[in-house]
Formats: sequence, structure tokens, C-alpha cells
Amino acid sequence: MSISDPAQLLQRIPELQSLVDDPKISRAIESGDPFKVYRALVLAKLFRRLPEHADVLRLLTSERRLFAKPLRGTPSLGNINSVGFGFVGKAEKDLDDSYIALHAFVILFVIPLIPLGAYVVKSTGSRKWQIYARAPLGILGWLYTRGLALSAVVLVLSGAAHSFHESNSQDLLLLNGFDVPLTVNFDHQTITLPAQGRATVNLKAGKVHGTATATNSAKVAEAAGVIDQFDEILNSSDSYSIWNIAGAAPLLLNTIVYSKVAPENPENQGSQIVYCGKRFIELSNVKYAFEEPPKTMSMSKHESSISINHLTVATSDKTPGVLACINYAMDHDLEKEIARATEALAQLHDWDIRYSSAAIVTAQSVSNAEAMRVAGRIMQAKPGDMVYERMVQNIREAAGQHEALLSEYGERAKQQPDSANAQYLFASLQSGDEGINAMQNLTQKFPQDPNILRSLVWRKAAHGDYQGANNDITRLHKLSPSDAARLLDVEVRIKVALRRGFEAMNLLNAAVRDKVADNRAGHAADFGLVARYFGADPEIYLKALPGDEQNFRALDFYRVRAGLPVTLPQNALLPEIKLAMALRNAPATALTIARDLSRNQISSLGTDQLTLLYGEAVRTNDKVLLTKLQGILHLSKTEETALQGYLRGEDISLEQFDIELDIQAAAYLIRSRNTQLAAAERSALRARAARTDLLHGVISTALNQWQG
Amino acid sequence: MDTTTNSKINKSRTKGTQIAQRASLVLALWLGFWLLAIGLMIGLLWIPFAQLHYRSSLQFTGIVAGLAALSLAYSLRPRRREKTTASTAKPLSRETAAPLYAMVEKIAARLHIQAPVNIHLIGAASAFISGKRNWQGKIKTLEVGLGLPLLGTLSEQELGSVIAHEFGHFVAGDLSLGPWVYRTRMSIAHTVTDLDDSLFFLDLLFSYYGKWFLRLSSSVSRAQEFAADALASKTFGIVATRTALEKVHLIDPMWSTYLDYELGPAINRGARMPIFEGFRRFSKLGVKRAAVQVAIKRAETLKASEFDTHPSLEERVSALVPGAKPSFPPLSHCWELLGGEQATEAAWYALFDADKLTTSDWDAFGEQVLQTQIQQRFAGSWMDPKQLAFTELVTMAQRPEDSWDKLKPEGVSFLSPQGKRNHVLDILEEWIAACLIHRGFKLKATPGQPWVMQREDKAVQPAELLQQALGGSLRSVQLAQFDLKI
Repeated sequence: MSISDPAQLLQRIPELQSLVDDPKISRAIESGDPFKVYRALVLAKLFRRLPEHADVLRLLTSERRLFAKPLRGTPSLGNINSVGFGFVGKAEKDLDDSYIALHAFVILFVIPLIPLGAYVVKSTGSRKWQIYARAPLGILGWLYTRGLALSAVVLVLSGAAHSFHESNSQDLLLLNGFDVPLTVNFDHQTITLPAQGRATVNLKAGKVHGTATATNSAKVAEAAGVIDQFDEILNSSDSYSIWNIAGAAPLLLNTIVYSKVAPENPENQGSQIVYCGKRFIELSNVKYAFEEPPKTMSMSKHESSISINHLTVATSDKTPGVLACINYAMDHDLEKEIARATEALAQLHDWDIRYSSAAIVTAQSVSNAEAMRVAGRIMQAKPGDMVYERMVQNIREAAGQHEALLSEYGERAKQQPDSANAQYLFASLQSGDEGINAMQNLTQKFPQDPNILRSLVWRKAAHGDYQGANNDITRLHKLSPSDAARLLDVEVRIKVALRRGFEAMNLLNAAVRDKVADNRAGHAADFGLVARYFGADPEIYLKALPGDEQNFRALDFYRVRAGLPVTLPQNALLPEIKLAMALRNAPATALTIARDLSRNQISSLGTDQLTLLYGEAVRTNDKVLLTKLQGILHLSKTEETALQGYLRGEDISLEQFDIELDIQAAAYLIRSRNTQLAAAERSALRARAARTDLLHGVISTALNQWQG
Repeated sequence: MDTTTNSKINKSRTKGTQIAQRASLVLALWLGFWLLAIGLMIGLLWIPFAQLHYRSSLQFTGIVAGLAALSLAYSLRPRRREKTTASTAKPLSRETAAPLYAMVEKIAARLHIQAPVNIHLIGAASAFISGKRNWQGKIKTLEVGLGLPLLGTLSEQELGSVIAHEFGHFVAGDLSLGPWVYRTRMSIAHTVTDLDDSLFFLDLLFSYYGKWFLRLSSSVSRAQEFAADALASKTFGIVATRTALEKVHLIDPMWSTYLDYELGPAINRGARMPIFEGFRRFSKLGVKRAAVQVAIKRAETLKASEFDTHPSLEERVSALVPGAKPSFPPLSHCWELLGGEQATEAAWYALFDADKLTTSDWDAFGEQVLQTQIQQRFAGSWMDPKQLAFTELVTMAQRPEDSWDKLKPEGVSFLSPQGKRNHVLDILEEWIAACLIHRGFKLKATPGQPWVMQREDKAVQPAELLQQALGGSLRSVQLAQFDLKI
């Protein structure tokens, strides 16, 4: 049986005839590919398959040109800067000067990197060749190129798999700004995030749903439940996709500029974006993420500067990220943005009163409805807790639900006549003499209830019955020291009103020294005022601030509040201190300064300072400032409306409302500035303001120094 | 409606279904190739695209995939299609071949074929049919090719059966599928050639697809041949169809060898030889020249392959007459259809530039043509019999490698040592002839036989002398006997 020989190799190489009985060689001949025949012969020789034809095999495999194939176009010989394609080597040189050269991708003209084939050529000059035919690569070269091909295939397949995976997935960076660990669940993945930690999770691109819950303990986790949900479309890209859970972590994007020449104003170089409150963020072109960028950067001679983006989270050992974020948001009038974080923070801390208050304040900045929703959650978590009940009442009052509250709590009081709490909550909604009488009656019915007695003390003090208030607070101290302690500011004013300065100073002294008490610096400032009034040293606690507030900036802020000079002259230029100083003698300047401050910065003022500012804004109808100061005095809607009318000089009495003494004093002063009123009334108002400013602070100073 | 009409409708439906099935298969295979190629290319290009689109960075794997896609795109580039000789070659004129045209058209009419027919003569022992189409794709003319040896070996009935077989391909719609099969084969072949030893193993994929395609399309082709045989036997009877098949298969190895080793070389030497006479002499029983014997043997024993487009003779005969084995029917002829033997040959020579050929015959060819050309070949060269002693044959035949440098063909040689040796020995055989001519011998060339040099009653074969020299049995003294005695 003869075989087909499409390449007519048997004519060119008659020796093959003796080998056609070998199936592998005959198959190669029948394929019409001389290269395959060559390889079949080489393999037969290597593996000594045909020992009887060893000589023929050796002879034929020593001449690759016998297995040459016609050219199929001219091989590329182009190169750039000695890198490109070329012929390398001279093998099997024939008498006619033809030889076999390796065609390869080369560097430096002669160093082959990737063999591409072999050719029968003749050299016709320097780097010039006459090309005759293609020859098979030697077996090593062939194995090398096949190895390369296999590597390329593996590379391409892995590249395809990798690209497919990347096109269908995206890394999501999870940030936990809270001081408790969180568990984050996606469809098929659960990740535990340490407190203030971060983790990266690879997710399928598209619509992604995730939830974050607390993990610090089963009890807290159960109570806290889901604190944030992620429902976003995750796109595959090279951007950083970040879920800042509840927007709590203070994520920073710094743009750092590297310049060849030191800039004149280095502080103007670069910029920073703070992503507090933003929950889902996609950031591109981030060069350094959560790693320190280098101090220096090399650049080309054509560049004068380079700017890079650096992603990081502001960290502090003492302040959890979420608190840093809340502070930042408050300072930048971004309460709305941080509402979810504050709510989550309160939720994670079992609706602690401080965090719950912050949650309510930020929710109110979103809308009353949002505040009501949060209040609803709080009440669900803390049913029957009077502090929270009162807080919710206040929110509803602020939302203008006074009548509804009266009706609702009145009904409850009627149904529970023996419940001190039900009665207290109803009576709390009443104000003025009506409120005092209601509370007075309740103290007789429920003499052991601290809430009722505390409320009565506060109301009596607000309406100038200092002696009555003093008697009641003495009882309250015996009944519930903690409730009495909540009225420290009121009690101090009562003692001063009753000229019992030593007792007032003692109270403040104890509060300043109490390392766990709130507002120690504020108490120190109050101490300064009382001490000065009673001839003692006002600076005892204002040479250095108590607790953590050991910085001169804060110190001078409280010194100014206490009517003392600043310790460092440059601090007088700080906006908050400038505002406090202007409130003493330049009300118009105070308004101008306040317009440039955030609500949070303004709210650090004392109630007397705040009311003066608020009152002047109302009196001069400064709408910009009024928008900023809305609700800052924590009055109900009715009270705030009435106060505004009073300040504008309308025929309104404050007697029917229960308003803080400092607010009252400031209100009298502001109303007295109304030139439309009779001189006698204005004079009476000024006298009343002086009387009501029991600590003789900024209101008393303003009485003397404000012009007009 | 009568039974015959129903039967015709059923057959027509069956035929339509078969055509549709074959067309679907071929179209699917053609589409499969392009889907594979373009899909692979898109897949490769997607990798760098995805890297840039989704991650804004081109990675090394993307560069490699992009290069692979480019090399694949290059191998798939459109190519200029070469025009086939059948469509450009001049057909037989109706004046020259009126009876043949009449016969072909009569068969066409019997098969309800209305397209005009052009008849071509071809050298091979086979036949073909193709269609020339207009711009709308409709058949304009049918080109029927008939092998010259068919006219010298088949009867009219048998030739008619062959023609009916070819028309069967047209009737079955094979001509519509042919170009698609051809195009796909060419596309695969070009792609595999261009991607040969590809750095990305891309050639393997297409090579495997190509083999699969060939296997499927070849099986379709073989089915088409059976169907065409069936139509031929229905038109001209089983006997004529069977004997035609048997004769074509019988003469094909002989004829192709005759064409390659005798007639072709003679025409290349510029001689216009009697074709059929030469074949008759070539086909005579007896020992032939070794090379001819080997070529015939190789053609006769060629292995069947799964890629064969035609079934084996055994299968075709068995399909016509179940259980029958191929036999060897006596040869006949039908060249009367072209006006006789010489007219047929003249019609074939008309395909060439016949003016350049010198009319000769097989008795005179050796002396008239070969002898002169051999003398001219060596005249003035270092092997000129006047210069190089005949006795050198002994040495030269012993060490033919030594003469390679002087006798190698122009340009770069790709011959193996044995190939080089054969090349030198072929020249030496002619040189022996030249030496003998120089000594008054005349060359006699009989188709299929070795050259014989004759001087009066002395006859010698150059090939024999060469063999003796190669075997070491020839001595210089023996060569002296061929010298002219003055």
C-alpha cells in the first residue's frame, strides 16, 4: 500500500522510502508538512524507535534544509534601536554559501529572545539576506517555541479568567468608624470588622445588598440589630468602592502636591475632602490608600509639580472615628449628613442618653418626621424611662405638637391617676403658673417622686421663687441626689440669688473637681463669675482648664465667658473668642462674626451669650443668622415663637412660659433696646435683666457697654 | 393523480429534503468556521479591552492576547481568489465536437436540464461539472469537463453514463454547495498555513476544525457520488455505469503515469506526440522502466483516506450491484464523437500553444527529438563526449557525490544525499546516451520502456550500463567495445 505524498518529499528525500512503514513517519509524510516529517524523524532518533534505520535517521536529521517549505511571504526584519526582528546564527552552511538562520525577535540585533522560525538564506551584505525557504527549527528551538506558545496560551487563559472575574466583580472596602466591632453580611459572605477597622471584600458586580450589625456581644447585637444597610449598584472598575458604614468613619481624600520649588504658601498646597456621613463612595485615581505617601517624589524635567491622591481615615487613640466625624459635621453645618451615624452610634450604645440626644438633634436637622422616627425607636428601646419620655415630648413640642401631646398625655393621666409618671408627664406639658400649681399638687400626692420635685424646683426658679426653689431642692438632695445634681446650674443661680455665694461656689467647686462630670470647663467659668461677684479669686479654675481641655485656646474661650482677659493675645483673634468678646460690647460685630461660624461653634457659647446673639439677630431681623440659630435655645415651637415676638417688642409676656433664667435676662436686655417702647418700660426691662442675670456675666456687662 | 405522478412528487420531495440537509450542513460548517474564528478573535480582544475598561491598566496578558488576536485577524484577511482553469479555459467548439455536444445536450434534456453546456477536454482520467453564474447567482452555463482518456477507453454508452453522473451533481444541487465547501476549505487551509507553528497554538484549533470539516464534508461528497452514480445507472443502465467506473479506475494509474513520465515530458521537449498510440504502447504487458513501474504501483495502491471525496471502486460497484466485485472489462473507445482518434488529439492539443510543438511519432521521437536535445545539452560542456572520456563513467558512477558540485541545479538545493545522487545519476544516464550517440548509436524511446541505443545490430540500454557501473561490474575495457571502429 503506497502513501500519499502531497509535498513530494519522497522525490526530494528518497531515503524516506525506507521509513514509510513506520506509522508515525508515514502519517507525517501524508500530512504534507515537511516540518512534521522532520520532527517525526528527530523523535524516532531520540527515542531510538527504529534502530535498524539509525544511520538514515542521523543522516536526514542532520540536514534541516531537506524539510524546507516554500516561503509564505517575507519574514519581518524591521527593528528599532537594535530591538526587533532579525536573522541570527549560521547553521548547516552549504557549499553554495546558503545556510540556515534563526529568525527571531532580537535585542542588540543578535541576541534572540523569541525564536519565530528558521530560514534557508544567503547573506548578500551586512544585515542583508536572500531568503529561499522556511526550514524547521531544531528540536530544542522547536520545544522552546512550543514552550513559549504554551506559556502564552496559559497566560492568555489566565488573563481571560482574571479579566472575566474582574469584569464581574469589584472590591468593596468596608470601613467601621464605630468603637465596637461589626459583622457585615452579604449574600454569601460574612465579615467581622474590628472596632474602627477596615476590610476589603470581593463581590459580584451589580446590585449588592449588605447589612451591618454589632458583634461585640450577643445581647448588644440583638438589641442593636441592623445599624446600616448597603443597597447599591456596584460597578466593576479600578475605582475604590467604599462602604463607610453609616458614614461613621472620617474618611479623608488628601490631594498632595509635590513641587520642585518650595511653594510660597505651603499651607495652600494640596487639599482635603472629608467624607464624614457619606456611606457609599467611589474614588478613582487614588495613588496611596491607607499607606503613608512618600516624603518626596521624582518627576520629569518637564514637570514642575505632581499631585497625587492619598486616601486615609483620620484616627485618634482617644476619640472614636464616629465622634470625630460627628464633631466635624457639627463644625461644618453637616448635621444632616451625620444623622445616620449618630443614630447608629446611639443604637450601638443601647440608646445612651448622650448619643440619643445627638441622634435626635441630627435627625431634627433632616426633618421633624425623621426626628419623630428616631424618637419612636428610642421609646421602643426605652419604654417608661422618664428622661427619654421627656426628650420625646420636647421633640414633639419642637415639632408643634403641643396640643396633641396635651390630649394624649392628659388621657393617659386620666387613665392612670395613681401613676406618678403619667401625672408627671402630663404636668410637664403645662407651663407658667398652671404648670407650677400642677407640679405643686403632684408633690403632695407623690412626695417621693424625684421627677416631680425636680420639675417643681426648676419651674419655681424660672419664675423667680428662689426661696421656694431652694427649699424644694434641699428636699430633692435628700430624696434623689442624682436628680438634684441635674439641676446644678439652677441651684447655683438660686444660691446666688439668695446671696449664699459660699454655697454656690462650693457646688461649682465640687462639679469642677468631679472628674466624671460633664461640662467641667463651663462650671469653671461659672465659678469665675460667682467668685468675682462674691469677692473671691475668679481665676482659681481658669489658670488651667480641668480634665482634658488643657489647651489655651479653650482656656481663653472660657476665661472670656467668665469676663476675664485672654492669656495669649493672639487667641483674641480666634473666631469663637472674638465672638464671645464682641458680645460684651459690640453686638453688631458679634452678628457679623457669627455669620461665618458654624452652628456647632456657636453652640459652644453659654446660654446667656447665645441668647444675646439670638436676640440681636431677631431684633435686627438677621435672617441668615436666624436660620443658623433655629432651635439652638432648645425651646418648644410655642416658646420660641413667643420669645421672638417678645424680643421684637410685641405685646407678649414671658410669664406664661417656663424659660431659663439666662434666656429671660438676655431677653429683657434685647427688648429694652427697642426704641419704640416707652423709656420707662425700657428702663424697667434693663433693671429686670440685671436682676435676672444672677451670675452677673455677659448680660450685665452688655447692659453697661452696649450702645443704643 | 396517477401513481407515476405521486411517485415523482415523492421523489422530488425526497431530493429537496436531501439538498436542504446537505446545504444546511455545509452552511453550518462554513458558519462554524467563521464563528470560531471571529469568536476567538473577539474573545482575545476582549481581554485587553476588559483590562482597560474595568481596571484602566493594560496588563501583560492583555498585550499577549491582543497580539494573538492580531495574528489571527491577519490570517483571516480576505484573499484574492484565483480563477480556476475550467472557467477560463477555452471549451471545445461546436463545429469540432458536434456529435459530442449533441450527445451531452441529449442527456441534459433527458434530465430536464435547460442550461447551455460547454464541453472541455482535460488531461486526467476523470470528469467534472461546474456552473458559471450570473450576478444573481443563477446558472448561466454548465461547464462539463471530460478526460481525454475517457474518449479512448469508454464506449459511447459508458461515456454517457459518466456525463449523466456529472449532471447528477447538478440535478442534486451539489454545484450550489461546492463553492461553499471550497471556500471554507480554502479559508481553513489559509488560516492554518498562516498560523502554522503559531506562538499561540492557534493553528491547532483550526487544524482540528479543518479535519473535522473535511471528515464531514467528505462524507457528504461521498454520498453525493453515490447519488450521482444512481442517476447515471438509471439513465444509461447499471452495466454501462459499472463498466465506466471500472475502466476509469483501471486506467487511471496507468494514464496518470503515462502523462507524468512519457507524454508530459515529450510535450515539454516540444514534441506533438500521438497520445492514444503512445498510451497503447505504454499499456502493453511486460516489464517497464523501474521508475514507471514504481509510479504505477504507487498510484494503484494508494491508501484510502477518511478525507476522500469519492467512495472506493468496491463501494461504488457494490452500491450499483449489491454483492458484486470490480472486474476488468475490455477497453473500447468513443472518439468518433470528436471525429476520430486524431481529431480528438488535435482538439486536445488545441488547448496548448500548438504551433510551438513539432509533430513527431513514438518511433521517431528518440532519434528526432531526444537525441538532438541530449547532444545539445552536453555540447561544449565539461561533459561533452568529445572532451570527457566515456571510460570516466566507471569512476563517476562509483562516486556520484564527487560530481554534485559540477552537476547541481542552479540555485539552492534541498535534495537529500540520495536525492543528489539520483540527480547526478539521471544526468549520467543521459550522458551515457550522449556518449553512445557520439559513437554512432541511435536512441529509441518506447513509452514505458527504458531507452535503447542501437547501432546496426548492437543495442544497449544506458540505464543498464549505469547499473553495471554502479554495481562495479563495468570495466573501462568494456566500454571500449562501443567505440567506432575506423
